[in-house]
Amino acid sequence: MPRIMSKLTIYNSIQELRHAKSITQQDLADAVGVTRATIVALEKGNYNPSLELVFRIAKFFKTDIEKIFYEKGARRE
Amino acid sequence: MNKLIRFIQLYLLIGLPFVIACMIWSNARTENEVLQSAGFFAKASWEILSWNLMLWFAVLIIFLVILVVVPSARENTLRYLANLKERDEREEYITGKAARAAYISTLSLIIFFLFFSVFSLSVFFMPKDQLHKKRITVAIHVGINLLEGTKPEIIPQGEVLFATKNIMPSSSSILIILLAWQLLIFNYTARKEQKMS
Repeated sequence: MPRIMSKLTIYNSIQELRHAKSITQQDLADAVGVTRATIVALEKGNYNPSLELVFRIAKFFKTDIEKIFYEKGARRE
Repeated sequence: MNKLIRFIQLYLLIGLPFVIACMIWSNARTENEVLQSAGFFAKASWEILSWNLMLWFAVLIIFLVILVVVPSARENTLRYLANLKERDEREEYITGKAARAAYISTLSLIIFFLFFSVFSLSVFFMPKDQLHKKRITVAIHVGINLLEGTKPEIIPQGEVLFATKNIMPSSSSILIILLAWQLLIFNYTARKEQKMS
């Protein structure tokens, strides 16, 4: 029987990376192929993206996935 | 096939005002009145509208069959009615959640209607001359009927005070309720999920 695990809270630094690149939510949305509402939801932490979208975002910011998405207190610089 | 479906949709949409006009006209005046008293233009219009009415309903039947049989036609047409938005993965996720909520709630409604179609409860007020100790009698009837017309009629011995069969909606009403319920729950859940994210 599968063990019931507590829900993992995943944070992201999309907003910081976006500000550093000086691009709008719409620009990022167009670049990774989603709607602006999805970027808003991601930045607010209300939506956990698919693995495919995670890879696309990491590729866009030219960085590792772990630098964008992390558990609380486990952020890698 | 897609071109044909688009043509059918366009015809149904354009032809609808003429169908409504024909129905209003036929309610206001009978066919004989129009053909006897009206001029050439009115007669010709009446004939064209009548033919259009017949053709429109024939095309509508074909379209409804296509909707049931052809998945792509169903997908393209009903997504507007259901207000489906699947532009990216988050919207697909929301659609999934809303579809789940709509499915579960519709299932509960179907079970509710099934229960009241199988069981029926009647409360009778028995006349004094009957050999019953209690004057008010409650009866529960059980029965499944595959066809509407084959339902056996329960003839009460006394005055019926209450019977669930009298408050049950017709089959058409049930279908309308189910359709409206499903659309309502789907759209409500989708909006709620969108606000939450």
